[in-house]
Amino acid sequence: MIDTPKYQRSYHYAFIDETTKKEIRRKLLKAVAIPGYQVPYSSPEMPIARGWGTGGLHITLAIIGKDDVFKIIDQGSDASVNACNLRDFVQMTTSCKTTFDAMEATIIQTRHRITEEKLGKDQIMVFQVPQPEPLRDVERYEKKTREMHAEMNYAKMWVSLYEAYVKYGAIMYGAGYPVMVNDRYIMSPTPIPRWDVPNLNDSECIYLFGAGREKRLYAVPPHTKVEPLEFEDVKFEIERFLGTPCSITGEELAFLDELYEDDGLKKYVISDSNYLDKIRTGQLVHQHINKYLKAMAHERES
Amino acid sequence: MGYIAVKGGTDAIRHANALVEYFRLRSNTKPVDIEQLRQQFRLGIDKVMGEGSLYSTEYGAIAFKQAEGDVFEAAFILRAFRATLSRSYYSETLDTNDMQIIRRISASFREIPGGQVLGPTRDYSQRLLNTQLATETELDLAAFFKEFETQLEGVKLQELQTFDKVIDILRSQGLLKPVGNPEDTRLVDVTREALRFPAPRSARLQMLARGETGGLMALGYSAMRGYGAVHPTVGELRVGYSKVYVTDRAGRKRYIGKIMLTEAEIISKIEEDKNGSIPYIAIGYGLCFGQNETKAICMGILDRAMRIQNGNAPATDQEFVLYHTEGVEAMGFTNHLKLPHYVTFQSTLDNLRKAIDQKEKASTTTNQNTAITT
Amino acid sequence: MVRELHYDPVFDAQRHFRILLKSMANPGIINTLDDVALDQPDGFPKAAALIGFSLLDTEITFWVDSSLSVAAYLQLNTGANICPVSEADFLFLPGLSTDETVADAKTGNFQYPEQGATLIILVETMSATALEGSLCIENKGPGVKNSNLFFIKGINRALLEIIQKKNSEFPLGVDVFFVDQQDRFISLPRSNQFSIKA
Repeated sequence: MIDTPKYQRSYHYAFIDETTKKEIRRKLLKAVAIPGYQVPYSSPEMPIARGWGTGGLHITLAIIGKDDVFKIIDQGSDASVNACNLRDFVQMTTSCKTTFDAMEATIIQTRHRITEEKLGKDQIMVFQVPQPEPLRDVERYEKKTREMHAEMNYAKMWVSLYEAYVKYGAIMYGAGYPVMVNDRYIMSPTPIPRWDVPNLNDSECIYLFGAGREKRLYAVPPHTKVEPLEFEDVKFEIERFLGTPCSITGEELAFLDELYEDDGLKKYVISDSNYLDKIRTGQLVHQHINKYLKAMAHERES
Repeated sequence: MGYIAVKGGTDAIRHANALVEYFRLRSNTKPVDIEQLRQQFRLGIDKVMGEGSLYSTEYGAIAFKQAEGDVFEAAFILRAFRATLSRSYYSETLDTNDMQIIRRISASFREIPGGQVLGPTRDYSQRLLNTQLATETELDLAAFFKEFETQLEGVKLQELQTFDKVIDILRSQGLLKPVGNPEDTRLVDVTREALRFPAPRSARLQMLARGETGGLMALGYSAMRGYGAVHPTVGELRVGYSKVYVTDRAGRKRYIGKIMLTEAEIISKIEEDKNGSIPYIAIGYGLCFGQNETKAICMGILDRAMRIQNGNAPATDQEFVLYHTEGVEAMGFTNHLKLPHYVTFQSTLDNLRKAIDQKEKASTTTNQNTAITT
Repeated sequence: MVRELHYDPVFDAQRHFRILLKSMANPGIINTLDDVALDQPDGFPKAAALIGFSLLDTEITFWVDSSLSVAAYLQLNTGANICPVSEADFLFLPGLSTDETVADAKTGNFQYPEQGATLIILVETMSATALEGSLCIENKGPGVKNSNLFFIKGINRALLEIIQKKNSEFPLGVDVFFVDQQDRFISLPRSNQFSIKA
């Protein structure tokens, strides 16, 4: 930085100006009042590229305060390069405390995973959203998808799920499985694995979603009904890791990453880096409980 | 060790940032002067300002230098910088009739009031690589200026003239009519609210003005080639300085400076009405910072194309044009593919393996059934 | 009418917003908002002023019931603009209002329901346990495990019925903050159904 008065700049607390913060805050309250509905917002430019987490940052920076403890993960990992860059940015503009511990954090910003541990009522999870519109693959036009949500006309979506099933024998959604929120809005949970989807339902914490590039905010309050789309005879399923345990901890009931090291052999490792650390060091963990996990645990017993 | 997605993130970033600086400076050549960039890379910086949506040749030059000449990256830096600035005033509406012209042409008429002013343009030069630029010295500059001043000696200085708009000729003859459906004339600020569709014209023009030149060019070109059937003629193209005024808090009108703008008024034919009514002329409008004629012309073409009802070409599709010519968003999202997507991918693999299993089970069952029946 | 100098527009606004967010996400639970020294107009709860300061600014329009003389105070301290009921983003009114004007408050439209207004309703007292002379309200919906029960004194049944009617076509509707004279408040978003017990 050139050291002349002309070029010296000081930035706002949390980078974003207060007017924009207020706008985001007002919109977040409306998002919470209408669970699963995408609220348009100004989404100003950030020094981070579009598509790299500006929406998540907008929410975090609009809500964060001096007493917050901030955690950020990417694909479940705290040490991932982009998470490090965003953590540095938040830390630099707020001087907040940062942590890798999911239970210590008050705000957790995440890209494409929910923590393996269940968050409590004083915690907020902020999702980075690449594509907020769950209907985009079946309808390219924003004007039309907005009408579809307005009229709760989701026929196109159901037909496409059915067609995928007929063609492939499975509903071909890997990550980002569409969900119905509060019996009213189909919502994109972001490209989280199916493993994480059941943990949106009936939570204790607040889930906030920010799509910076597409300029939309949405929310799922605690104790809200969030159900994956499924048919009577074709049900939603989570990924299976029974028989392919984590090569470090032996855990089979957590979401595992498939990886190949120098020896070329296929290995599995717990994806959530903080969870991995805790299991490895024998700490107490508070994993989510949902019917799919219970069924899988039951299957493992028998 | 290369890039491991998961561990050692902070170190990797630090090293990457150091390497960026290293690659920028390793030639150990003289640091580039911002003033040189501002003046001798004028057109590149005009592009950066236009796409960065901030008129400042100085900050544009700094961004251009920081980005090692990458216009996308420089525009992005400038946009992010712009977002931190406080908004003190809105200017009075600029009247481009009063533009201090450096260039002004029309392709629609051979002669126009005030004449065709070619101005600084490479349009009629031969694009022969000038290797003498490799050894340009200050003496060469002095010699050029001496020669140029000699040429000026013979020219009589005239009063600064403003030029009427060519399309006003058409308007006064009743050849220009409001066409199409009544427009939504709301004035929105696309930097303060998200686009909604159908977007009002003010929003469309703002998006185009901030749009990426190459993207606009590709779509404008497609419209000219038949994908959208806009048969354009340049009604008028002007490049020059427009004065900027604001009203201060005491209510007085104040001059705060002048900016260079390129303005294009593109004339195009309307499709024939089925009822056989007269196909009046429609204007597509383009305006952008600095001298960027390609962009202004394509803006005008796309402004017109997006007003075509029931068009079936990309250039006529508002959502397609406006979303995909937004350079900062497009560049960001394109490059975001480099971020780790292994969890998403894992889920896809799992699904695929399941589908393969299902298929195998289904064919095994069929085989068994076949075996039983035979 | 005073310009509040002790209010920190950066950190107070942020801290209070977090309380508002948690409240809206957990409707029917009582919270308090009173930790900044203010010189607000008589009878106007500090909590209502702080909610206003946290959310209102020059981009917002608001309406104030004629019985409250707080419009100028809010305008001075937030820069928000007064406007008719049907255009207002935020409305301030007393719970005992018999005026049906608030029935005109905007509820958004099906494509953009978030344009529905936010109501700040000033009541006398609220409690999580039975209160003499109060109405008992039970709410259910997103943010609530089973149901919540709360008691409000200083509110007309008719006003509550207007709100129910405005929120009867979800996602259209208004979102409400009830604020009492002791700076307690409760949120009731349109996503929640509520019934008025005895």
